[in-house]
Amino acid sequence: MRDKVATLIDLTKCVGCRACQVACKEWNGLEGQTTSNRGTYENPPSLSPETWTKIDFIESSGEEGVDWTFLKQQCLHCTDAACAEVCPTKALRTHPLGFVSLEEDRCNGCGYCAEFCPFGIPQMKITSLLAGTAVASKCTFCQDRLTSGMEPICSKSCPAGAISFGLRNDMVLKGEERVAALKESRDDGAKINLYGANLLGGLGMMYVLPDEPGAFGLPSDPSGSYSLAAAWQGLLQPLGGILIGVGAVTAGINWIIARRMANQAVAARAEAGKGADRD
Amino acid sequence: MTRWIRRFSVPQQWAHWLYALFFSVLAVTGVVIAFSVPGFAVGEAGAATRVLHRFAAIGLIVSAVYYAVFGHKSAGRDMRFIFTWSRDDLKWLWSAATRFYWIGERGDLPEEGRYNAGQKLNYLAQLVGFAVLAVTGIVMWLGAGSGSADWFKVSVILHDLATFLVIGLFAVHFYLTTMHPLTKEAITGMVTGYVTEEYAREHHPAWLREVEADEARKTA
Repeated sequence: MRDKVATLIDLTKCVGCRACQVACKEWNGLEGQTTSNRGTYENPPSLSPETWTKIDFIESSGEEGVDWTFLKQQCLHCTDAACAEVCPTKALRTHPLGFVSLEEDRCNGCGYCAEFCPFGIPQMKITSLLAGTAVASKCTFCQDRLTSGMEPICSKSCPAGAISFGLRNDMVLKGEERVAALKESRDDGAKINLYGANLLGGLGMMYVLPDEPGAFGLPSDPSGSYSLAAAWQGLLQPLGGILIGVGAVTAGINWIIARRMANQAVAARAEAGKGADRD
Repeated sequence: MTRWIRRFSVPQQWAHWLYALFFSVLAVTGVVIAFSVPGFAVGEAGAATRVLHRFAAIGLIVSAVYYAVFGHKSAGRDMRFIFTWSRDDLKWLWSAATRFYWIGERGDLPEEGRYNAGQKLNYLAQLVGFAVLAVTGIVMWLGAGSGSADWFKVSVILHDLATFLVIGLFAVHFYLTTMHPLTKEAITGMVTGYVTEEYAREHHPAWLREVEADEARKTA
């Protein structure tokens, strides 16, 4: 098995330029969206079937007006991926390289992935509410580039050096070193942390966060969804299958025995009726 | 000359067969969707399967509502009957499952009324399954991609569990009413609405006495 790769997104370095956002659209052939001014530089307002990564502008009031922290949103590529676990068509799968791949032509639009993802990442493009037809979409870690030995387009396009790509072990090490260095050098360093080194079996995209996960809307424990999905798929469904099997076998045995008993009863009646007058 | 006794009302027969029709469509399309049967689960065929599942779901709900409205007399009687349980019912379930359905001898099997305890249990569980499937199905239909994730997750799993329940019940029901050597005559009742006096005496003696008492009252 090849070694896993990962991306380390250092939010203490992100300048909010959105080069990654644009590069992602360009490489993946995603349409631009018409949006309206909401009084913020953040645009578009949320992930969508046409926007697989986007920078959140988190505003707070600082000494000289507004302070921003940025969060690059995209699929975090869990190792224990709830979306892949619940996907009935295997359109979503965990790839040995350490990302969650998506094959849109296998998607049946059920939407389970969107609801089970603890980060709310997959976006459903609903084509008919009546028919319930839809297609899931999300960041694929540039699966075409990755499997051809290239780095994802977001890390390639980042001018601030906030997005690094490499072997996962190296990225975890790099993240830990960076966090340790920042803790030492920055006055507000206490809250700086590495997000995703061990969560959900290890995320394929990790963050160096300047603040607690909650400040970025990231769950500090996202494991519930995967546990639920695994219990459902790994426990309840096989159990149901076993019950059905046992039931079928019982019915078969029952049929054989009950038929024999019924035939015997008929034969016994015929036997008893022999010498007697026929009616 | 065989005497035939009215067992099911006409609305009851209609409701049963409509329910059976839509149930079958739902079961088949549902299995196709859940297990992603190749060729029918994705793309245009997948869309058709999903539309069919939804139309059949509406049909199933309509057939239940039809029975509640147009068969309210028998439906009300059914409800009173299936929600009334006694110690004898439990005794019946045990005795039937371990003795009667195997060797055909009644032994200590308590006398059955209109429905035996197994039929009551089937009716009740099917009703619960129906309610769960209808509610969770609507959440999944309208909530995909937009609804509350928690509600959706719970609904998906409950829909799955309830499917196991109702398909299991259906299998037992189908086996006992059409294939089981001792009880397969039961299907005649739902097809024609009538059963033979002999069948009624053998399988629902308490009910037969009620029917006869009613007739006696009417003629008196």
